[in-house]
Amino acid sequence: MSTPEIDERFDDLVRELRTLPGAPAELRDRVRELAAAPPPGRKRPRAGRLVLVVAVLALLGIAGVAAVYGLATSGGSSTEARRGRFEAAQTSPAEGGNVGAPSAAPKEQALTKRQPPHVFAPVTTTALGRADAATALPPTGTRLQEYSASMLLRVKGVDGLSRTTARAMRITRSLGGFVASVDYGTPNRKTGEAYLTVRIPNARVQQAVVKFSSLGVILSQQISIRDLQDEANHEAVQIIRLQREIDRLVAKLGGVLSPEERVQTQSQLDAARAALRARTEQHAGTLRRGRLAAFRLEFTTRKAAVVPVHHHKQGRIGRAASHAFSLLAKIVAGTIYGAIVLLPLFVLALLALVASRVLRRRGADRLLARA
Amino acid sequence: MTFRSARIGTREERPSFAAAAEEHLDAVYRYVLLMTRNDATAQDLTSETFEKALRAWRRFDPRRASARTWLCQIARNVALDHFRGEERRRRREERYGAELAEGAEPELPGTLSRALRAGLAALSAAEREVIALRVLLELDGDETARLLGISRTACSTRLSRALHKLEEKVGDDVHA
Repeated sequence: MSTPEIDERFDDLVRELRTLPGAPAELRDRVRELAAAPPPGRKRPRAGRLVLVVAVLALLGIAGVAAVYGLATSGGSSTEARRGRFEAAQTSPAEGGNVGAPSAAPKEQALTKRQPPHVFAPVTTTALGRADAATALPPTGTRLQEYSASMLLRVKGVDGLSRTTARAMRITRSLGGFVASVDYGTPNRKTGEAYLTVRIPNARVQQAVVKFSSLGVILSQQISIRDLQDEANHEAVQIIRLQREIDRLVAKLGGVLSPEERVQTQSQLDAARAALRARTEQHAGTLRRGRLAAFRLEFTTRKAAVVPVHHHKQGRIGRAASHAFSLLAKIVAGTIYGAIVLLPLFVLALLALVASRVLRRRGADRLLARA
Repeated sequence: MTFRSARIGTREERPSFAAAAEEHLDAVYRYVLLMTRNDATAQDLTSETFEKALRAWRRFDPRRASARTWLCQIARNVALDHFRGEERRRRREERYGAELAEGAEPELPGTLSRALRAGLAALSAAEREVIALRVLLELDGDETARLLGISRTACSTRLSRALHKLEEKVGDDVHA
């Protein structure tokens, strides 16, 4: 009779309680009517399933973006091919403007204004390494170019650093250049760095690269060439125009002029002469920059933490994959960072949720105890 | 048999809403009736319970709870909302000095003895609730505890205390 766990002494109570009537007919009809009504609208996806779908879509989206990014940034050819094209452009027969001469052929103007810097992987001073450095972007002899290079080389010990620095200075002088600045430092007996800025005549840049490369292990090397021909040509044209203008004004002053016109013409002549002086100095500077290459040499005794770049060994697919993985790594790092930042907030929100549920339950218990 | 097929094999059949409503209407009504001690209120709340249940029927999972327990959970929330509303109303009336309407005291149907009705009236809704679930609806201890959000032990204690109190009140009334 009695439900298990209910003492038999309550049997009478239980029996009487179970005589409580069931639902009245009116309520039963109401509920039947409700149950017969068409089911409510479309099935809503469960929150868990929705989260799963959104997560999968987000992952696919990220992978797609990474793939597109990788393909878009991989370029159509390798660095070597770019270098080959660049060298071909350097030696193309489109050249011909003499330094300072006002010749501006359209093909020449189309030639690079500023070539992209080329960064090479660290190479040792093996024969191959030297050959690679030697063939790296030689300046053309027929166009005016601003050539600058920076090299980071590792040398052995503080003694080696001292010897190498002195040798670099000797090489500079032997090539007809000069040392613009030297900064040599050995904070302790084991490590040290030396920074040199030297100027080498453009005609001897290749020799300089070869000789400097042999001073240590090349950790990084950057070479940039900026074409100054158009700039020099433009300055030369302006100088010629100014010269003609001065000649014209001088001739005008030699004629018959009213006092006001004379004063005005003289003023114009002075301005033109000042402009000519400025333009001539500027032109001389441009030519100077085109004649002397700037080398920034850095010698270090430390083992560099430079990651070798192997662009020249990868095809387009390899580079695309590498770039895509790089982007994915950044996204993952960002996500982890975000998670670390948001985790405390998430924990707080979770605690607040749990607390609110506990409070709600206690509130319900109190309510039922009072009712 | 694979794990998946074994799971499917043991899955409970999902009844239609109409069948579940037909089968458990009495239980839900009696549960709400005992909690509220008012027939009209119990009918309204039962009706509201089934309306909510119909809207949420797609979410009902027979593997997690029986239809009866699931319906009772909805009925409980509906009843709690009702009690909260009642309490707010009472506070408002107290604040404005209004007196409760004559005959507003709820009363259970006359099938029960006067002593039992008086005894039930002396219990709190929480005590009547556990009696309703365990005695009337005959839910087991685990189901009841889960529904009330308390431990099984607390549920047994609450039931025992409620029955003792009811017995005392009924005895007092009979002797009086």
